[in-house]
Amino acid sequence: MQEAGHKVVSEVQHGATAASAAEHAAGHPDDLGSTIMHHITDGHSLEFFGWEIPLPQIHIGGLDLSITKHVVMMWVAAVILILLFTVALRARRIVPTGLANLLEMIVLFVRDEISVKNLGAHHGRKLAPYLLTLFFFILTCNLLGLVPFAASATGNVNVTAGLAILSFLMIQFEGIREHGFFKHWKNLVPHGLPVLVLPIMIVVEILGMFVKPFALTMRLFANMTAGHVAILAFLGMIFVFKSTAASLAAAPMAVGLALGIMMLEVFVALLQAYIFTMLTSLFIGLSVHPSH
Amino acid sequence: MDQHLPYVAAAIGMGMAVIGGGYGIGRLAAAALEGIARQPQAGGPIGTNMLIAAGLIEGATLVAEILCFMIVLLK
Repeated sequence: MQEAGHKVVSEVQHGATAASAAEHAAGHPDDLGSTIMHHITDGHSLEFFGWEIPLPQIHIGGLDLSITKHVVMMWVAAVILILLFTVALRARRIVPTGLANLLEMIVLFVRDEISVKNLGAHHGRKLAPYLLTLFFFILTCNLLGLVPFAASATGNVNVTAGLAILSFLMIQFEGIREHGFFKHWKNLVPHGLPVLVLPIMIVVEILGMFVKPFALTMRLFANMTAGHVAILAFLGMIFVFKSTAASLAAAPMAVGLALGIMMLEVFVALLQAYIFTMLTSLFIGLSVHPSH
Repeated sequence: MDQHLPYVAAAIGMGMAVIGGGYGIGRLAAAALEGIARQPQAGGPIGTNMLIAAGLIEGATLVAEILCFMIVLLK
């Protein structure tokens, strides 16, 4: 039994280099590192019970506009949200029941505790739709990462960068709409500073302007990716041992640890959606109501 | 030995990032709990601000972790 297990593992290890090209083409790499990478990176196919569903690759004028795994997952998230809210709000009542009640609770939390608190009553209510969209989209994308055969689009740095760029544009746009174009850029530094510190402050504040969306990008991306890597690394513990007996002994522990991380992931999915929305509203608030 | 040095570097870097992040979030949680213990009615705003600061610290830590991961990948 031990020899058989050893043979399989060594075959796997040698096969990985020899047949890596073929394996990559089929989408089933065999060593642990590339298996993890295969699961957390974007791909040109969907997997369903061992079947590969190929997705179209589109290149227009040197731009790669392929419909990849994460693009499909974003569509799935959008469809889930549209269906959820249409079904829940089909029968409008003064006192909502069931699903509508749950959704109203979350919507009110985002509007009153995140939006209005950071932006004030007027801007808070006006910007609540944007922040709600952001919150529900990120939350659904995060939770999709825990569904079998699905992937979390927010574990892709391009998706989070896109969301952060939208937030960056909202920060500048709302500031300009509130104060006018030139006044908005003058609000970058606090008023009444000594002239000597102005050169330093202007550089620091311009840096800070770009660091904010970058931090938003990296925080969401790294949190989601780190969770998936941790789950896969714990499950991979079953396959790194050379003997079958050791693998069998490690399996319950590995699955238990992975289950624990997955429960943590549910919390992290909620927390990261909250943090992203919270920081976006905070930054918009700083731009709309600057310190004098 | 030489070909294993990147792994050693990544492992040490990962550990140091966790030490820094853990210390930061530990200090933050300690201060927040102390504040809530002194003034329980301020628990709500303190908790919110604690989560924001924890998110910022966590962001910096995770960037370091991702860079360590990149060392291993790009070795």
